[in-house]
Amino acid sequence: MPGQPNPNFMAGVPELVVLRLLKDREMYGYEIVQAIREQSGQVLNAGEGVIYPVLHALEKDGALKSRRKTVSRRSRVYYRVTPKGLQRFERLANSWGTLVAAIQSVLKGEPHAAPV
Amino acid sequence: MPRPFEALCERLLRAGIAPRHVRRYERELGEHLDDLTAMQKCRGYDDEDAAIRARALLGTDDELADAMTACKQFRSLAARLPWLVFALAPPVLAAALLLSCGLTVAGALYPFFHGRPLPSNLIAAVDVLCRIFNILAGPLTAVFFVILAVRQHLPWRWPVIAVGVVALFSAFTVFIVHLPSALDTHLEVGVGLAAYDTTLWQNAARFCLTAVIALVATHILRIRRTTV
Repeated sequence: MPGQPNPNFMAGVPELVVLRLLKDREMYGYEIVQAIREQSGQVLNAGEGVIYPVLHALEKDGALKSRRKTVSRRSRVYYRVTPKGLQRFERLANSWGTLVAAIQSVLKGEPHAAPV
Repeated sequence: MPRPFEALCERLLRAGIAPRHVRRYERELGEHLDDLTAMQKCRGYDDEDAAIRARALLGTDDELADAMTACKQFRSLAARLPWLVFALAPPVLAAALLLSCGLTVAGALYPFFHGRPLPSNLIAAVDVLCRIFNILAGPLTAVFFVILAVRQHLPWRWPVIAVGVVALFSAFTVFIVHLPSALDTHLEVGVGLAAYDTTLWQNAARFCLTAVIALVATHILRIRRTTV
């Protein structure tokens, strides 16, 4: 958000990506990681297991709901986004859009404020 | 055979992550690892290579542990506020246990009570029950806190503090059921200070009994943990 400090530019990115993917349909951890990898063109590529603390934290905050479902004789935990999660996604997406625009502006050397 | 994430779980518990979060993380990592292994096998790797590649893709123990410990909300109450859990909560729980025993006894006696003296065999049974409650409430509470600390791999000073507090509390607290008699037709249940009713030797004996039972339980749990 404009005017707010961004001590860590990547803060909130895993949540943003996960919420965006789960906005369309419910998925399980492995599926989410593969989708992130494919859709980011292999750029977002960390240890796959680190997705679970993100999912669990989002669920604890009420942004996601999970349920155990058996598909093709494999039992897995499926996650889906809640209305609270959708609101959080909108906030994060706006915030991220503003940050990206600001960084692009800096990279292009465009002045935002008139020189004093 | 060791569990695939045993070292990681141990590390997370020592870092103060609540056991239920650790168990869930372990279970989902296991399922993810199965999916990764199956995928590697589909790509033509043999069992051993597939397992190695899958484990590498899942992330190192450092990565997996850091991701979890970075989320402060997964820390257990005992790890965040050990003084509250192991020094203040034990006497409250011991008192609650005694009170619930009292209410259970009162509830069980209620159908027999019509303002008349109770049968002598029932009085004797209640007396024995009260003695058992008074002896066991302290050790049971202390063992509960020992188990709590062992499950979360907390430093040993915390269960020792809890055992000490519970032993002190149970040495000076007594659970009493006053049954209706010919002279007094009231049914009373209460928890009170034992200092006036008991001698110092009796208090010391109850303190030692609670401490010894809890410390023996601690020792057994410690042996089980190191041998399993």
